[in-house]
Amino acid sequence: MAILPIKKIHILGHKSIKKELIDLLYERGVVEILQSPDNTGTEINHENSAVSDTDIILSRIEYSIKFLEKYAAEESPEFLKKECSTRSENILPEDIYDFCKKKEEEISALTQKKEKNIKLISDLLPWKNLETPLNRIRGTETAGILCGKIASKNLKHLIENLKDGIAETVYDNGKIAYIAILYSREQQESVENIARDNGFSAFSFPDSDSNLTVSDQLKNLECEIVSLESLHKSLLKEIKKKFYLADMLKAEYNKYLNLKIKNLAYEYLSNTEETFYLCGWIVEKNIKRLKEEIEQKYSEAEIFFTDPSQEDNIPVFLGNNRVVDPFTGITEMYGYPAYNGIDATPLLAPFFALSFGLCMCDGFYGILLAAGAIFVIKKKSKGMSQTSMRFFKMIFLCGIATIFWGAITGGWMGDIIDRLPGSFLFLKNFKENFVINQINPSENPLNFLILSLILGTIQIVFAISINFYYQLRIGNKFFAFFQQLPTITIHLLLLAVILSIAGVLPSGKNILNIYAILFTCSLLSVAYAQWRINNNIVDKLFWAVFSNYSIITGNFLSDTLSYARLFALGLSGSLMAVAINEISLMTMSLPYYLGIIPMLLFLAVGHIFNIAINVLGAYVHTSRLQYLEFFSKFYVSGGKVFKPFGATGKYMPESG
Amino acid sequence: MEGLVLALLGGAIAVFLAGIGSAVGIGYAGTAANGVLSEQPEKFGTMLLLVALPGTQGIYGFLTAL
Repeated sequence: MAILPIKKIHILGHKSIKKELIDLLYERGVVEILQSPDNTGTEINHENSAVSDTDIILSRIEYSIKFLEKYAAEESPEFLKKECSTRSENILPEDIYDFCKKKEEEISALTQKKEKNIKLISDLLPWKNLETPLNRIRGTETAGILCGKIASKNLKHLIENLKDGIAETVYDNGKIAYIAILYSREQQESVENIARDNGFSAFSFPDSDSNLTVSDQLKNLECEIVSLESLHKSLLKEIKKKFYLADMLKAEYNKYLNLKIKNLAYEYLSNTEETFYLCGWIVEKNIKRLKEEIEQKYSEAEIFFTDPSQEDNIPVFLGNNRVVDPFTGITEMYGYPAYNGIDATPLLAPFFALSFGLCMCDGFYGILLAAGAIFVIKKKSKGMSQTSMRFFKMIFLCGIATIFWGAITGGWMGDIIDRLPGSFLFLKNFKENFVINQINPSENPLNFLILSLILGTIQIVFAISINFYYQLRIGNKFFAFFQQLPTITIHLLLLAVILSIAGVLPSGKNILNIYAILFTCSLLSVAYAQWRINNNIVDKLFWAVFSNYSIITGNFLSDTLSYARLFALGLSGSLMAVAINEISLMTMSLPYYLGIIPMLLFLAVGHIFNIAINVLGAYVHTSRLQYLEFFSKFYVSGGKVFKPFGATGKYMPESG
Repeated sequence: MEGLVLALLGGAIAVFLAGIGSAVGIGYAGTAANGVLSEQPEKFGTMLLLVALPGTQGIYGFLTAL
């Protein structure tokens, strides 16, 4: 099966070989080390331990990488490449961290100062027309001066009421008026009251001792901003020049990460004065080699294996053959299967590829997809993560399926082959060899719809059969025979009735009678199963009826009809392709073959666009069909991923 | 002629309204599911089901139009 059996590994050894053994396990990367049973009670104290030290270093390196990359992102790749290639020197990660930290503080100080100046400018700007130097805008012994702003509509009212002072408008933008009020000191209180009542808010000039006018001050501030900006620029340049360090930092990060993993492993062991004990998970197929190697190298170690017990939370390791493995990503995205569940990958693989192909339904598009996937796999495979590798392999397989459906339905870049001039007759003949005209989506849409529904029916019946097998495997014979088996028969019988009515299957009174009897038996069986597994009478009645209802409407009608989306996508994709061809060929009516270039342009852009949206649609909808229509019938998720102890890296090296 | 127009119009309305409804529904469910997933990523399967449910109506509208 695709969920590989896992065993528990126990190693007892003398402490003298502890380090070597951990190193060996690290190199092999096949064991997931568990916290030892007698260690679990006590909280591991990370403080002051090697692990927490590496944690600090890791977070600092990560900070530096992010800092450098953030500023480098503004530059063109060519510039960075040049910078990277010209330098190489040895700097400690700690020094880089200090550098980044310092630069960040400088930048933030600069930005703060700049913002402060901008705020000041916007405050001062309305007072620009005030020609008096600031240190002279102040009262005398007997007269006072108040500067501030007021809503323009209140200004008139204020002036009318202000008997003991004079209000002078400096600037009025129609909404807010900036005014200065002159008054006699004796009336200070009454003036202030009137001003306040009219919504006047006072403004005190910053730096009021200066002998400059407002406009001069503004000029100074602007000059200062310019110099701050140039300072900022040179700072950025300095940072960008250090970008070449990021690669080195990434390598350092991985180094420390692995160091941390090893240190963690040490903490998981339990020790006596002279010995240590290690416990972990191992995939059964790797046992033999590891056991031999350890026994050969270390006579001071005892290694043995046990079966996992019921209480254990056993991790799941998916192992599939090369053809099916690319589809693992689909299962992973949904969630790992439970250890005693079923790995859906090999089961969904053919359906996924076929459904995807049916959505695209164009031989030429399929060739492009497959070729593109091969290109990426061959050219970029270095340093590519397993997940993306799988993805492109899956796209390749889906591309093959697309070619298959395209050939059968006669879709090659829409209807381009039919539009070619007579000299391309061989292409036409080639096409005619494979094509089945009855299912051409644009000519016989109904047949194409039926085709997708047939695919759906097969997959759904298959899914219920898997559940039947699963129930048998976990020993639930009652449920398998009284619930799953009748579900299948109900499905098949309904199908048979439809086919009889359509005239595909022979129909006769006797045959229909047999159908009816079988159908009733199945319904009763499902009702009985639900009756038995539910406890109180209301539940029993409800589920007996509802379970049958949901098999017919849910499984048979709704789920099957959901596969109509394959038809919808296939149809819209091929109609789009035809439309693109039609529009492109219009340009050929231009004289002197002038239309050739725009035609080719239209064709290329149009079809690339069509492929892009179709791939997206096909991928999303096919995945959805697997998750909702297929998985829901049998899949038990919730498995824990098997994470072997070994080298790992957050930053993968870039491919050269 | 008029019958054909009406028929096409009916089909178009069926697709449009069902499509709009589906889109709005998926939008609501998607927002909510996103929130849940950020806290409990292992619930992907359940959430996907809830998000995809409103999508069914769109397909039915499409089929009706046919």
